[in-house]
Amino acid sequence: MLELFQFVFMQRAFIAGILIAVLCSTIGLFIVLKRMALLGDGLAHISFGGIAAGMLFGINTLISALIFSILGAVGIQKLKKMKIYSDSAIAIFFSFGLALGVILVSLSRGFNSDLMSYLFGSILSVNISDIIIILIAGFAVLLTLFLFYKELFYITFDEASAKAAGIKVGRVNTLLIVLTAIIVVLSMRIVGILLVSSLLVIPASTALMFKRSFKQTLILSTIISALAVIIGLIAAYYLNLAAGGAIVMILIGIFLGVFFLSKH
Amino acid sequence: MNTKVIEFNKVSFSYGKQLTLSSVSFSVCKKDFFGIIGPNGGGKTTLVKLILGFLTPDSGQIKLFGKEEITSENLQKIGYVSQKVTNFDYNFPATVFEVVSMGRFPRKRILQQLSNEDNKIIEQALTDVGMLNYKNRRIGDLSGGQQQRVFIARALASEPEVLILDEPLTGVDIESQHQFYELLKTLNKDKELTIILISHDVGMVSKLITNLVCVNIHVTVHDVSKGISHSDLTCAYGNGFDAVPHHHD
Repeated sequence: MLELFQFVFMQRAFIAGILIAVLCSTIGLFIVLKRMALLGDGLAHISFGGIAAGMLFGINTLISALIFSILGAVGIQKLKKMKIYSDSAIAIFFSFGLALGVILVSLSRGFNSDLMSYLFGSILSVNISDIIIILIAGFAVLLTLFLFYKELFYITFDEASAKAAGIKVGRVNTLLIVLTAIIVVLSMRIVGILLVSSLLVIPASTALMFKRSFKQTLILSTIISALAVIIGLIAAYYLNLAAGGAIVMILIGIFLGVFFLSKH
Repeated sequence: MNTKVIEFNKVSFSYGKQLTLSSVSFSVCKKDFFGIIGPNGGGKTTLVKLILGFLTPDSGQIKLFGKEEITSENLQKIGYVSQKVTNFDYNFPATVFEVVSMGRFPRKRILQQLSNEDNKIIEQALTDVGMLNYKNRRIGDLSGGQQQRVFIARALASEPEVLILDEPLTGVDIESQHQFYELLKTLNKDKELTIILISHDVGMVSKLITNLVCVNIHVTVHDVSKGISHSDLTCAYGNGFDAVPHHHD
């Protein structure tokens, strides 16, 4: 038996990692197909402002990050409705969150190791309360995705026809982006702010190359993502690498492998 | 007595200062087959967007199924195939069956999944358009004409009372066009579906339609169940128009 499973911190890392992988890859397919691949990155940077605020004012950083991320998500949707291009709306909020974060960090007298763990992830230091929060929020998000699967699928394929068929396209879009905001914050513990979008974008982009049905693509995306977390964590343990970075490298490796195989 | 499904009463609409439709009044009754013609920019698509509630009239009123308020319930009774429907991402991972199943979604509540009954309706819609054999193919891998039929199947799967088709044959070959008109004829006659078809191919649709609607800022409706006369057409295209468009191959 692999010795790494004897350690509680590794067990927690696997549980949290796999759950986050499932969440990110599921919502990631919708985000990628809607051409919003950088949304995750944008929301993660907005959350940075929330984390800095949480640290400065002594609030639970997960909660403060969540508030920032959700408000940012709603703000991006509002700007889009006011005819600001989607990528510009993301860039505006992205800059705002980052700028606010930098100011708050400077007020709290500079960087500390906690902040570094948010930037680059710290899956090996996931504690039991993190696991509980990720489990509860994660299952709530998955359930919501399952309940609104039909609507999300329809608006991702064709918004105009969905609207003509009586689906409330605006509300479903807001739901999608708010769920993304929640997932991004939950994922920051695993891969960090700077690498969050990798879990959203790479598994979906890899799965799309298999050219299967929507449901099959969704399942493939989840398998690829979970596999990368497992292999990445094992590699990080034995080779003494940063876990977040190792997971992303495995994802990119799988992506390249599928890419070259599909070309031949 | 035929029931009115769509009623326009002195409806006007402008894009900014550009008057697009002026005081439009007409009604569509159950089982009617309306052909809408008119020059580009004459307001044909605007007319459809007003029916679907994408646009709100500047003045006048529109009633769907006797009600002025546009509700999700009313929209569910309309199957709409837009002019741009085939402009989707051809790499999108969806099978023909998955696309047609979207037609059932608005009839399902949030928690409800598709039932066996829904699957039967989806397969029937695919059979009606002759695409059942393609149900597991990816939509992006089909030809333009085949995709068009799949989108019509999606509209049919919603079991609509009215089918609205906006220039459905753009880029579709002649053979498929003939099959398509046969399909519309069957749907209108056998399934008693009310159909509104926007087209610039008057020659082709003339044998099918009951009413010809000419849209060029003003809207005139002609009963053409006994054939189309020259004056029926000049209303839309002006006096310079002197031939029914037709194809020479």
